[in-house]
Amino acid sequence: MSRSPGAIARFVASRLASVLLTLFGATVLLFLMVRLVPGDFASVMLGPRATPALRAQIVHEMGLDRNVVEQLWLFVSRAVTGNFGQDVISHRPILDIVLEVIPNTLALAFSALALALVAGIPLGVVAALRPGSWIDTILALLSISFITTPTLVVSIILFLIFAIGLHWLPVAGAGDAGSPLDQLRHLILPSIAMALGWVGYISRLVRASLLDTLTELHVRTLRAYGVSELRIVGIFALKLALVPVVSILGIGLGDLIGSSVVVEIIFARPGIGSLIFNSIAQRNYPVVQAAVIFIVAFYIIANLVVDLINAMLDPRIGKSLTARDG
Amino acid sequence: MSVRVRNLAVDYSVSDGTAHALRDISFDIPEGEMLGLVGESGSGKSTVAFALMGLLANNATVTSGSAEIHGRTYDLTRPGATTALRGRGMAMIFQDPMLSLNPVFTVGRHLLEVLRRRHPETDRKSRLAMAEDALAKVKLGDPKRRMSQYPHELSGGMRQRVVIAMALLAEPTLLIADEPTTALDVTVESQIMRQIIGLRDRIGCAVLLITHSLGVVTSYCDRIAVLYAGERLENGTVGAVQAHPGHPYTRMLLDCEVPLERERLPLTTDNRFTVIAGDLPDPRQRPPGCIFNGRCDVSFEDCARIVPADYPVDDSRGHSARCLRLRSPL
Amino acid sequence: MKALVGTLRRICSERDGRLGLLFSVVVVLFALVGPLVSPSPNAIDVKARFEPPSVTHLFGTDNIGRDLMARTSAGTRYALVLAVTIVLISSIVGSLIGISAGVLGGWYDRAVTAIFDIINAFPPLILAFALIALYGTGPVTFILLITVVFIPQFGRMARARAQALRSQSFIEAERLLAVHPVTIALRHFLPNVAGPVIVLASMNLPVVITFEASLSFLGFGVQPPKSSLGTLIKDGFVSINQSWWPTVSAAIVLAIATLGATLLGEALRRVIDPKTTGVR
Repeated sequence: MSRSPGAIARFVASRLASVLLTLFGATVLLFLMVRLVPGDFASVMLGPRATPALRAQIVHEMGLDRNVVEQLWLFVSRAVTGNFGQDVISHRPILDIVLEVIPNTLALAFSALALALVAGIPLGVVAALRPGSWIDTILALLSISFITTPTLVVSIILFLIFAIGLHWLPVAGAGDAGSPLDQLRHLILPSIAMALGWVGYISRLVRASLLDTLTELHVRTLRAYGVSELRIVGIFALKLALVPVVSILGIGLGDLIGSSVVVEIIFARPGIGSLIFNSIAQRNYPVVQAAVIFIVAFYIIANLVVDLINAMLDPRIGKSLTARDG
Repeated sequence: MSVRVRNLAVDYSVSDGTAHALRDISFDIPEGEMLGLVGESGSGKSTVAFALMGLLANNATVTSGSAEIHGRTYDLTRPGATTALRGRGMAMIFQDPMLSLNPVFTVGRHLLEVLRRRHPETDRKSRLAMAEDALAKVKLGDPKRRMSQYPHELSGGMRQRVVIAMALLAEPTLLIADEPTTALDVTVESQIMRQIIGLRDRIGCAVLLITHSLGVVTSYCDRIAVLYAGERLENGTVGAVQAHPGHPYTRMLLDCEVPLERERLPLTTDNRFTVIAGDLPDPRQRPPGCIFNGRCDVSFEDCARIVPADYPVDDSRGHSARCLRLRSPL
Repeated sequence: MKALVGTLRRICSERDGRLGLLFSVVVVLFALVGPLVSPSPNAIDVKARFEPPSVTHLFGTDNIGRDLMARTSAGTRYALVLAVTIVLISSIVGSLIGISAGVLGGWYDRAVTAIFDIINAFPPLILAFALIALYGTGPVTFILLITVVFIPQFGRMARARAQALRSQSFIEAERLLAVHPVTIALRHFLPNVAGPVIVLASMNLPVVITFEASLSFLGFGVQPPKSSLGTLIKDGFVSINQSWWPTVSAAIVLAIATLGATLLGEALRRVIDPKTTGVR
């Protein structure tokens, strides 16, 4: 059997190793990126706030009095334990600052992803049911416009419609912390803005993949045994057709997190995107570093999870994956 | 209750006109018997199967034909005429078992889907039992484990048994087997054919076996129909046709005594197999007279002018052939 | 030249290709012709602030009375120049790195692949954002930094192609004949990689246009006095409560530009490299 728990564990372990390596590389790159900024490093890190006392503090904290390799080690080993130091502005641990906003961004990204799937898959199925029909043509044009309209433009248009025109939905903030309903209402517009491109993308992918699958011979087998066309398309072909769709969801999440900067700024939402934006504006680089490391870790783990889901969806993938490392 | 097919004709619209894939095909399969429909590639034999199932490609149209299955007559020119029969009155076994099962669903799911259609009244538990039973009947060992396996974990022969099990569960009146052993190892051929015969005897259905191998027909079938360029040239019991082939084409096939597909010829230097010279006629432009005229070794003037009717060879055994030499002297 | 005409003809033979070409030509013409039919983009007319579209100001005016059509046209021009430059540099540099990695193999190949992997571990927009925030916003810096984000895509593709080619017999033969590796690379690898690179480049053009607009919108792209579609959207967004027209006009031009470029890129892919799929 290809899907024994042991095989899956081995697969996860081997992927985890490469994931950790990439994450390590990304951390080093991030360290170097900041370290290689021309000028005196302590001044760069502190920006306009540099007082002699703060300088001494940061030199000590980041080990700037030691050599670069030791600094790198210090940075990486602290990053591993989640210790990103103290924020020089608010004097709070940077980890706390990041962890505080992450749920907002995750809620946004996952609701956008869910929206993209919930809308994109049915649209793709409908288009694939009647290829070449007028409904297929309309959906094709709709999809391509969704895909190509930048999130920035979608956000602004939504903002305009709901902030200036209608006033049905809130356009700023993340909502009252105590009220899940209010938070949900605040989530609607930004997640639509983020999801729209992926609605089009997923619907196109589902359509193409489904049409491919429907030409395969096992579809004919089910037809010959009287399985209804709806069940064939909606269950048997769709599951197979979703394999390539799931494969791109990892990239999708990265893309969504990336566009969270734009969306969170326009809709004035607290989140990792606006945290990075504000920290950069204040030249508060330690916070930027910490936030970016979190995003990279999330992105990499998301891709790992996507691989796992795919291995479960398509047993042949599971087999080849375990065969490779077994 | 036998299965009767009458005057089946199918056209394909191709880029440069219309190809007549089948013309005026009629045959009977008595209950519990197996008819071997034999012909070389391009003769249209699979088209017969898909026309009956209603699974023809989009560019194909049935221009005439009817089928009598389980006492009811179906007008095959009507799209979806036999849709209601699929998985109930009719079932099919396909040529390529490696591709005929969905790779992301288990063997069990395929079987359960057939039962869902065939026995909607049953519950999941009894369906599971029936499916496992079917796997055991087609001699797939350890049915419980097989149920949760995926197609890629099985060999080609095992996958073909799964499809046979599906057919078994569908309990059809007519089973169509389209080259069920062509894609498989020669050593598996007899096992699979035995399973198909076992299935036929178990449910007493009529079987239409489509093959290019005369050997398979003579070993396993009760009756034979010879198809050439979309026309049925000869029809009769295997014994009668083997003893007295009524059509020169059938005689030439029997003389070859090996499967028609060239790639299956053994690589010996002293093979003395005759090869039928010439090519199939252009399906877009049927030549006048006998369809086999161009390749026939005993043709005469009339053959180029007159389209032969179905003349009896041995009336008592239902043996007939389309050859002008069988015309009763006037 | 003949190949170009043939490619264009085949692009025009399908609906999406025609649409893509149409939108692209319209955007480019708008970028080029705008200044001829409209007043200077920087001419200030404080009496005519936030004017809606009219005959004198087709796109209306902004917060200090500058003509928005002229500004949007100039912004489009600058955005296109930036995006094309970025795509050109990253495709050329990326292919060269990728081919060399694929041809040379060994530790060099492993190092290049590892660096590509690490860069790809960052969501692209976040990486671009961080790089620009750290290293500045001048036009040259901007171009170089965005290039870094896009090089791995071209590099990976070129490397894969080069590797596939390396094991082909005619390459083996030339290597046995001691033909210089650079000669082999120029003679065989470059032409074989060129098609897919052109396709990938054209597919990436709208992505880069969007990148520039997003970064400029956030204030980390094009800086005044230069303006691009992104800065126009940003400037308009600041005063969105007085007038929504400035932001929307630039946003619409941006959307048409990315739509046209995407459709054109996809049509080009179908013509040059029909085997590959991929929607974006």
